[in-house]
Amino acid sequence: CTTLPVTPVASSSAPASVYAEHLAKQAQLSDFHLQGRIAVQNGQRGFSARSDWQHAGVTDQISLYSPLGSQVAEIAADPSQVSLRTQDGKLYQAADAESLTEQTLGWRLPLRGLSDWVLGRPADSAVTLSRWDDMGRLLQLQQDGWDIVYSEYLQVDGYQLPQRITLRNAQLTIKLISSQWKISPQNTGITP
Amino acid sequence: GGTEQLKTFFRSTSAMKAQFLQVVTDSQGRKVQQVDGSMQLQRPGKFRWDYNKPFVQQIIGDGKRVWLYDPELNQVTVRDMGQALGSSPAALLAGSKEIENSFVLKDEKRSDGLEWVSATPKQQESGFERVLLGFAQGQLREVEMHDSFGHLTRIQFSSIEVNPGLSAQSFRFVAPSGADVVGE
Repeated sequence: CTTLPVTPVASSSAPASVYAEHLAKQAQLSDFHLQGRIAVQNGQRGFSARSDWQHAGVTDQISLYSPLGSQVAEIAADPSQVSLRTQDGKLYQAADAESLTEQTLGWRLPLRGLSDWVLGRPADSAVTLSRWDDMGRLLQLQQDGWDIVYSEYLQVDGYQLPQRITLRNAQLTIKLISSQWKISPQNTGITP
Repeated sequence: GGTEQLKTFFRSTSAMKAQFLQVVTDSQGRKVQQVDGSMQLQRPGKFRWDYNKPFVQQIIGDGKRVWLYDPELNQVTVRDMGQALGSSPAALLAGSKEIENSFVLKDEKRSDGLEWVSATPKQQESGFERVLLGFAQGQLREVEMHDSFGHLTRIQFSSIEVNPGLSAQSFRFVAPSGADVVGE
């Protein structure tokens, strides 16, 4: 997303210009390959798994592995359809990830927003709160009903990328740890 | 052959302790993951897999339930032993009920000096197609797991101790304070 969202509530040490500068740089990022781990908690139920996420253009391919090594699920998404294949060979399909994961896993995976949030930047919709640190990196973001906290960043090819994110909404807690990033920034020529 | 060695393994190995290296490759043979750690098992139904590098993870089967603890994620996932790992490798190795009940066994010829047996789960949705176990001198040396997505998980054991004295404590799991405990 290239437009900068208006942030009604912002309270941070650094001025908004530093935040805007950081976002302009993050906006150069698009495709990525993220390997890490995910934990989902839905009340008393939940799971944790190793995750491998390939985001290319408008398509997503997410593989989830059990610690014993075997793959347990695979989500493939493009703008028209999302499919989920599980380890017992079953295939589920729906128009979007939210309704698909709700039908099959009982909770809504905010896949569209996640592909921006995981890069440490807001998605296109309205932002209700954002806080950033003195380098302009997001510390907290509230959007689409989610409260997103960024607790660690790491340097990858000159970009500051989140290493640890916790997303909470009324029903769910999702924790994401990234262990390996591969990014392919589009050089839009603008120098930050 | 392998089947014979597997039966001997079940008859004579009531406990085992070893280091392991786990390598997962995808259907094109590309390495997807490499983890090392240590394991213990105590028949019937008790096992412990401690993954050390590159991330720490514990899987503990206490005979009734299986606990999966990820310290970095600060989450414990607990499942019933039967439902969770009905016919998965960890349960197979720590088998508390006759292995033939849940697996079809077949000798497998290989030229790596190990005697192999292939175990195909009778229960369809077990999440993997086949497990192969490689033995030498009655010791379990290697396990291979083919999952339903075409990945191959190979586990190689080293510093193997057969029937060591193991403390019951290592198969008990106490969730660390502050960790989120969730059921599957």
